[in-house]
Amino acid sequence: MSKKISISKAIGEAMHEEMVRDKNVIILGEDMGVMGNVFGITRGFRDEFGADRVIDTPISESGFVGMSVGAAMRGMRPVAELMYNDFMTVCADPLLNQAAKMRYMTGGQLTIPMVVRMPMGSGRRNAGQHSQSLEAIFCHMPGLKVIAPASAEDAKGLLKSAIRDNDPVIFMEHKLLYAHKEEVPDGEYTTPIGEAKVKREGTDLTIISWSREVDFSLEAAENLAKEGINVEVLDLRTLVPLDWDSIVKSVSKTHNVVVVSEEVKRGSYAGEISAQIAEDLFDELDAPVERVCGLNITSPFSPPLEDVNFPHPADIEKAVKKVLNK
Amino acid sequence: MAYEIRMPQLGLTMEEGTVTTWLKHEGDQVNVGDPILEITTDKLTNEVTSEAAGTLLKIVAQEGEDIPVKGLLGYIGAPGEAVGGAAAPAAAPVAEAPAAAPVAAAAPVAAAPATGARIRISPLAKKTAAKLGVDYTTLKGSGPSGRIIQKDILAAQKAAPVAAPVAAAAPVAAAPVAHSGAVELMEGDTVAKLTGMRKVVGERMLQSVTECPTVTQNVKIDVTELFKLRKDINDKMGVKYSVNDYVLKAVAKALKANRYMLVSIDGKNVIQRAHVNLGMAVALDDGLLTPVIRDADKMSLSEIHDCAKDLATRARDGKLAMDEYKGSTFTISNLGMFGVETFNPIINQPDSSILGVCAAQDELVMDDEGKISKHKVMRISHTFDHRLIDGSVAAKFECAVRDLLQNPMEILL
Repeated sequence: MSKKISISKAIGEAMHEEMVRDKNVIILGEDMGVMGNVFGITRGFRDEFGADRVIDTPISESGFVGMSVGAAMRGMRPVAELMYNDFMTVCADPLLNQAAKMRYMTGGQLTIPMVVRMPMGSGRRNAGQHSQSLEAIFCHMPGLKVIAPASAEDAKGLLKSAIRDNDPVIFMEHKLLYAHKEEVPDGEYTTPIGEAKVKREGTDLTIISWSREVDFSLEAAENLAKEGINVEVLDLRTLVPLDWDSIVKSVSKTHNVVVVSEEVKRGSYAGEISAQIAEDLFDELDAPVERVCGLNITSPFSPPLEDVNFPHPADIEKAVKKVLNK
Repeated sequence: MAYEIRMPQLGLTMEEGTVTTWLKHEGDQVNVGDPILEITTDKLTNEVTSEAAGTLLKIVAQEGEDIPVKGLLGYIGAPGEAVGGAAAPAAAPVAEAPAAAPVAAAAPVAAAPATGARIRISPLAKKTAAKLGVDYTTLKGSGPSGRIIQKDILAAQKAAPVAAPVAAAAPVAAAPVAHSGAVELMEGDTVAKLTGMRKVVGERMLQSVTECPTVTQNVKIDVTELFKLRKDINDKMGVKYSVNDYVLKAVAKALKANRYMLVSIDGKNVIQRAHVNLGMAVALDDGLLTPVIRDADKMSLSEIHDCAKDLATRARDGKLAMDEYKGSTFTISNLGMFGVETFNPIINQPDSSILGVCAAQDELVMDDEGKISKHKVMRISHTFDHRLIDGSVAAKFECAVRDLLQNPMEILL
């Protein structure tokens, strides 16, 4: 049995179920309590679980993420929210220097079982400081797990796994996916961290993507199918640890790769994946790996300009045809 | 700048070598004279020693790869030093392919220079071509910028049997070997690249057969006495001289008295060889080698025995030095141990003559009085280049060998 709910609702359900399941799970962030989150995800939580477990914080990411690290050290399971992933720069030290490294600096005596949820991505006219996709920065940092789901089912199942995980997990949610209504299984389930998913089987080329670009990739694949090009779409779901086996399997089948993400192309995680494939799967490749990403610019506020700053299905189709020389 | 380790040329005929084992790994400290990798040529296995000190920064040629002489194998330099810029690695191997380039150039890439053009081929296509034995140098690529992709290789392989007549009619018959893919594959067949020793043995045999008008003469030799003498000496002296040792010694002695067999043809000249250097064919798993017993006519039986044994052992172990299988003036190939009765050996050029030694077998012999007795009889099969050696002259030499082996005491005198 399944039900059709929005991705934001699926995320809310994951947190709700985990809070019921484990009293050490707490939620904190800006407008998470009384307002119930700017996207309405935690509406009603404060009434149900109390102000001790659903905490409205001051506008200080450095403060409440640092607080989460401390709470996690003491055995709590904090789920903090950055209102936008762009604000990670404000709390870079607690995230990148404390949370990510504490297990290793203490020789395993401490673990940091915290989750930092963060809306990301562009297309919502939020301009340069609220529209970025910063996964490359988190993926670069050893000690963090990084998840970026594309579907409601995965968002719920992966967030539950993230909350139960004993290491710090960065959970990236695309703002423009929140309203998507999709089928989600009834009842209790989790989705394992570190497993990619083939969203569409194909033989001619593999599109590797994550988050909202998976939807665009699937749309592109459908259009290409009409022209006889049979594309496989691999949704990474978890960026770190990377499901390399699934990549090897797919690339060894199709021998052509396009990596699609919404990031600034320069220094992107898409580039890292492309490099790994070139290094380890060189002999499987029939053409160079192509990246389809955002431009190397600050996200524009102007709607027409913003709309050309992230890959659309047409851009992906163009890249696929370039690789296949069609 | 980092020092470039390149494939050494270990002999005049060496064109390429196979990287067998890297003895050092990337990041290892290397001193001048340190062995850094092992290479195999068609003839031997050899260690490449470092001519520079520093860190082995990068291994370019992986184990199992065939690299042409002077091709890049790796880099030694200061830790952290950048290497491999300016397309250095690609230059050597790819430049080897210009023979077929005119055809490739005529087709897809307008901008590509006519000769010596780099062939654009995807890694997958290259791997597939190697696996299927498809010659891609003349293919037209269907990928971006005319790049050859896997599809083109598969198509070429499929088309090969049908397209054969067309290919033959084409003007570019530059490649000396038969066009790859011309042989139709059947279920279960596997294809491997003809490399190393097998390739060279094949080329040399073909050249010899094509070039030399040969005659083979078979002579029967009664070796009853030889077997008796050998047993006596082995028993009394506690040694293990083989029949082959006596044959080597006898042939060396016969050659000393019949020097006209020791000749080589060199274009319009004839070389009279001064030394009796016996090449001795040694079978290996993947080919054969002919290590040389130098000045065999000056050696005692025990010296010949020791030398032959040592060379054969090291030939099988791949431990011969470069000059140890060069410079033969006459060759002996012994297939007696396999029971071969006669055969037709192929001359090991630049020698003009080769002696096949066959199995010793029991035969009944009738003497002048009509009495029948059991004898050990062995045949020799002597092949010679009729350009320089005539039948009667060859027969004289064969008789000299026969007389020595039938009167074995004379071998030792």
